[in-house]
Amino acid sequence: MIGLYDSGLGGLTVLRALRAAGVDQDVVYFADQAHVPYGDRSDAQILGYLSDNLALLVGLGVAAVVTACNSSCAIAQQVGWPSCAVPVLDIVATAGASFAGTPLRRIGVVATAATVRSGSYGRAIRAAAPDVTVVELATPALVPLVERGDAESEAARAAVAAVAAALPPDLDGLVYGCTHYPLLDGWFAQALGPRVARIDPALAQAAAAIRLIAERRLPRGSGATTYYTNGDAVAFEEAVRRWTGDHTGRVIGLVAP
Amino acid sequence: MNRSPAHRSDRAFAALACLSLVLGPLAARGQERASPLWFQGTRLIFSHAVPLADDLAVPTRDPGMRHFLERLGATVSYDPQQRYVVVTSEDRRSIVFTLGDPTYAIGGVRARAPFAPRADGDDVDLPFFTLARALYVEPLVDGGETVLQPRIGALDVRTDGPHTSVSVTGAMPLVTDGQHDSPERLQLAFVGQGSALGPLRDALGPAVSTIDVAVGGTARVPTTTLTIAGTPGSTHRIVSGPAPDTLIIVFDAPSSGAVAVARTPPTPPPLPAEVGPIGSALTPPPSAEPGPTAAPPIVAGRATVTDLEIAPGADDALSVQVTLSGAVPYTWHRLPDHRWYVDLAEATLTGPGREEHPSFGAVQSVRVAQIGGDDAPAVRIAFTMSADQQVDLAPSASGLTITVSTAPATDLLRAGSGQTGGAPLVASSVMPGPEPTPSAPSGPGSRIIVIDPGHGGDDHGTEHNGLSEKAITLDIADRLRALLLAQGWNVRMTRETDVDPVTAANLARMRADGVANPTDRAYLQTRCDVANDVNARLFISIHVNSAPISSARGTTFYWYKPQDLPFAQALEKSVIPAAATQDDGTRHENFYVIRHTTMPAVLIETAFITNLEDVGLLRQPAFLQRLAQGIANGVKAYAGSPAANAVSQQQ
Repeated sequence: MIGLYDSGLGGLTVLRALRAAGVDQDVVYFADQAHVPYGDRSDAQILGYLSDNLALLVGLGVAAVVTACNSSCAIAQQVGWPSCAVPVLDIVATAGASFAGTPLRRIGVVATAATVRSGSYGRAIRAAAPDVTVVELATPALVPLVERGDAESEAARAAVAAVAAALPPDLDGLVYGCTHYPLLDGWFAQALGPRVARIDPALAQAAAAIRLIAERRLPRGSGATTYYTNGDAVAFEEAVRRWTGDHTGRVIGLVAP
Repeated sequence: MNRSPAHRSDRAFAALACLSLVLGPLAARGQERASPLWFQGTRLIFSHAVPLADDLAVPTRDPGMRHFLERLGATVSYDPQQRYVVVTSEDRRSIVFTLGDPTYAIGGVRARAPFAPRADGDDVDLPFFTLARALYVEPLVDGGETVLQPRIGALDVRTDGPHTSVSVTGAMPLVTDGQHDSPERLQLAFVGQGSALGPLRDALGPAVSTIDVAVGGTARVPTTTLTIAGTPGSTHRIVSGPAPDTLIIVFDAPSSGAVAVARTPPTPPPLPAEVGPIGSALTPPPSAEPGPTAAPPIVAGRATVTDLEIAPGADDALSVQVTLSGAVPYTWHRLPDHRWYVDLAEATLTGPGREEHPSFGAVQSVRVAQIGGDDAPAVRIAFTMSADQQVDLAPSASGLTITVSTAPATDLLRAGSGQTGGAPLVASSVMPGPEPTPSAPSGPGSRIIVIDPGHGGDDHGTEHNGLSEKAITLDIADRLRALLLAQGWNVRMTRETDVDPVTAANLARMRADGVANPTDRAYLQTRCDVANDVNARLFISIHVNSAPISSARGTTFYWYKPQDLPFAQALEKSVIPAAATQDDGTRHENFYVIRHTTMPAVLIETAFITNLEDVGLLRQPAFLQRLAQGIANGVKAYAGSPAANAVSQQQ
């Protein structure tokens, strides 16, 4: 069984990528919606949540954790990972590694304020591709939009257009440095045009998960997903059905409705 | 392809020659087939280098390699007992090679080298060009020769609201030659470092409009000129980076022209160097950044920080009492920007790091964090002050006392070190949220709660109205488990899937004992064993009731041992309001699982599967959730939080 966590809905994009890549392990998904968005919180708070999330997933019996929250990884890279009894795939490191050998020279990263503040994306990308320019932009308005279920609204289009206008015009690629943003991909595609490659770290994360599963010989599962949220379970269930197409996975709230 | 000992004398000879870096045709054996290498105007001579797969295999202790690394401020560590070679760059990135594995890691990110490092006697051959590139040095072919050109390899532009920070990282300490600084335009010329970076135009946030990178000089002595144009009215300041090869320039947008890039939080924190020291030589190397497929370090130090108390001291001072499980060395540093921190070496935190903003004393914030990796764990306690204030450190019987007074610092020392006091763990002080210990028999202090989802497998329990007891009990148990985990408990389940657990030992024993219904008892005893074997704190068995008459409804809490009753009452008190079912009260009953468990145990009949009203409820996930929440609340009311229960385990 594999654990996934995010501050909210965003990690569903990683789950989607895992399933699309053929991961058939049972998955436990935890959405820490009581604290979303992480991006506006302090390093200490984020590290605390990360530590709690890992403990919860380990307690639920996962054999590995695939992170789907960039902010927590970015902060943990900077101040140190909390201990965890199972292997943890760091989405920022994985995303950075995926730039090895690519022709992209000017890379934009849109992310939460916490992720940008940490500078971890720049470091991770540079580790794989030393000679690049990384432009990171904090875009804190986007996560709440997605969490509210407004990813397809006119407000979302306008917010994405404003973000695109704030990016340098000569970027080769743009990284979705927050797992909520791929849910706005349509708007980004429209705003950036075809010349800018849009990079969803979820794909690299899924590939890394498959490697991990093979390396650790994790047993296969039934492909079922159980979803936990400490937010509004009913709204979360709607989002799960909508974004993942999973109509059978159980959604469990951690607070009484 | 082992080399003969004869090569060793060659190597020693070349080492002597290399020390003075003689220019000229003194090519050592093994490098004959490689094109001459130039680095910073001198020829780089290896005593033993072998071209291999588009790269160059060079031993780490080769004098040429050592000279190269030294000039870059990089260090290499290799212990023949280990499989790893760790090269730490000036900017404290670690490049980790593994013997026999072509993948290597840069700061936790994995990449692939043309060949795997291989042992060579008590040394190891590394792919030299790969290493050079990782250190921002690019081998450029110049005619028949190769020039190793240090580069400004990285330009990071980070925008968070009105602040934009531009950080430039080069292969070597950045030396500026000529700096033209006007309020809105900053030009920096770096000598000896080229760049392949391109310019950036427009829209870099509200504070910066363009960044231009121009490379000049010669192929052998290149210069890079960086010109950053701020937006009208913006201000900037140059701050030192984490190492001399990094320069950070922070631009702030004019406050009036707060052109919101996107709605920003009210007070975005300053961008650079938010955590950690600036240019501290004593910072533990960041070698513990986890790789993409590596487990994060499981940090285990010599001593544990069990408590940290922040209290007001005399004369408005702030006093921090650190309680440690043992004595550890510490080092402290004062940073130029009114920050001060102490690192407790080989120490670990029992909980997550934290940040406090005390309302008293002269300190703006106190941060506590676990730093370092499993090879060098440390706990950092950092203060942000409003001025350079006096900080006193005093070892105490239980650890360390740090006092920050409002008076200005009397000394100008920037760093120091010492040894803390510290005693074995004291029972009363445990920080919240320690890792659950999987197997720790400890009775009342146990952090383990066992949930028993009734029935399972072939034993369906009661089935009516299209509902099956075994599925409902497991559903509630799953929900309860998550809630208890979130409270910090370690949770075991007697079953996690649709099975009816039984051990062969119990089957054999019950038959041998000649008890009535040996098979049934073996099954039930197996569930009890889960809790008894770990001496769990509590046992909760979840069931669904049925009755021959459809009017029976509601929730009942069964107890057997006297110690069960208070727990049953606590559950009744919290479950009934949460689930809004009829209260059928607590009842004394001789059920096997509550009789044969050794800790407070309650069997809950949650609702009647034979009553239409209750069935309506049992069909709703929200009801099952409310039940679980009610039980979790009852656990909390009865047993408190697990942190308080953990004490006896720590001893």
